[in-house]
Amino acid sequence: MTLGIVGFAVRGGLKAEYVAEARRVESRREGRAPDVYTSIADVARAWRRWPVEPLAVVSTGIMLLLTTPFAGVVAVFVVFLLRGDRRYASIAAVLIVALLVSLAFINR
Amino acid sequence: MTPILFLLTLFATSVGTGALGAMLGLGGGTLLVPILTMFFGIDLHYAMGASLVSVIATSSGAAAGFLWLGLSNIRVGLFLAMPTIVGALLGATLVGIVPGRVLELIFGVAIGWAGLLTLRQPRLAAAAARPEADPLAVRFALRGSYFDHALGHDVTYTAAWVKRGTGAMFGAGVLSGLLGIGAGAFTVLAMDSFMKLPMKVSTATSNFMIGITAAASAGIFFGRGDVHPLIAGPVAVGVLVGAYLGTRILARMTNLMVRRLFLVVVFYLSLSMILRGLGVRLF
Repeated sequence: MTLGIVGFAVRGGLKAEYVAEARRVESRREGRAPDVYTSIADVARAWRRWPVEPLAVVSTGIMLLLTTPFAGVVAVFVVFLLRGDRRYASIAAVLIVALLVSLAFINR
Repeated sequence: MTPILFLLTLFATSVGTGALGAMLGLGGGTLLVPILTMFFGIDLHYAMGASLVSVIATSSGAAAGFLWLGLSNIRVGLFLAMPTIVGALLGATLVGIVPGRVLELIFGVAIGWAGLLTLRQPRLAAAAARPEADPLAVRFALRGSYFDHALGHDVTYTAAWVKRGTGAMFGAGVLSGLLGIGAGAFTVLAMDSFMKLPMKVSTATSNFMIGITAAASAGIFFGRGDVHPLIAGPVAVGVLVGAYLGTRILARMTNLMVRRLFLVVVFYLSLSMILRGLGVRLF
């Protein structure tokens, strides 16, 4: 996230506004703000451009952060499974499914 | 305001909010959303999206420490995370339907209520009289123990009134998803007052849970375009830094100083958000 923010600051400079023209065009079609990414595909498209859009780097950091609790629950699931605690492994599995439902909104 | 100045100001404000949240035990999100909307003029939905991201950042940062100290009860956290996540998903879905002014009104009432709850100063030590064991607590092993350094001995506990606590957690989850906050004050209250868990366990387990709860609704916010990277990025980093500093500052403050600061900040923000919800703009 910090890398992307610094990149945005460097791109834009002290005075200038900066928004990638390609993003401005894409977002206008969908009626959205050009700075905001709403899916993994959106972010991946921005990474394929050169130079890479700094806000795509920030959004990647945010998406990775959003998956941190998911990774924690998966780890807990594995631990309970290895300990033979099926009840809490099942509870952890339910939480994983619920979190996947939420993450599915990013992966449209 | 130029982008650089905006980023720097936002970062500095987030550091301050994170520090204040850590000192007052309210969490960065509860203070962050009103500050971003009132003083920066940021759209409420963007502020809530940024708040959720910062809650996940601070929860992830602190979770390891609490686990190492043996304060977080993972079983209790997982059990209670179920109704909380359901509530959070419902709340996050409702954000797209509920008008912004109504959200501001609900937010103002929620902050004021959280302030009142925190002022009640729940028990800081283990309970003297233990309530009868709840059958659900026995069945799901909602119990544990930890070494309390302040008391100098182990403290054992078993959850009570699990159904009431579950209901309260669902409500906390709805607030979390609806307002873009961690709702830590409400989850701590549910575990401490309803389920009679020791305060330290409630706080540590709540920290573990709020990250999961925030992640449940954050995906919906992200997909809806409510997580603006220029706002969420600096805010998340700033709140994390601020929370670390806040715990250091708190150690040097007296209880009276904290209490006064708490009263001023919380009720000012609560009143301001309620007035905004009613259409009265102070700024």
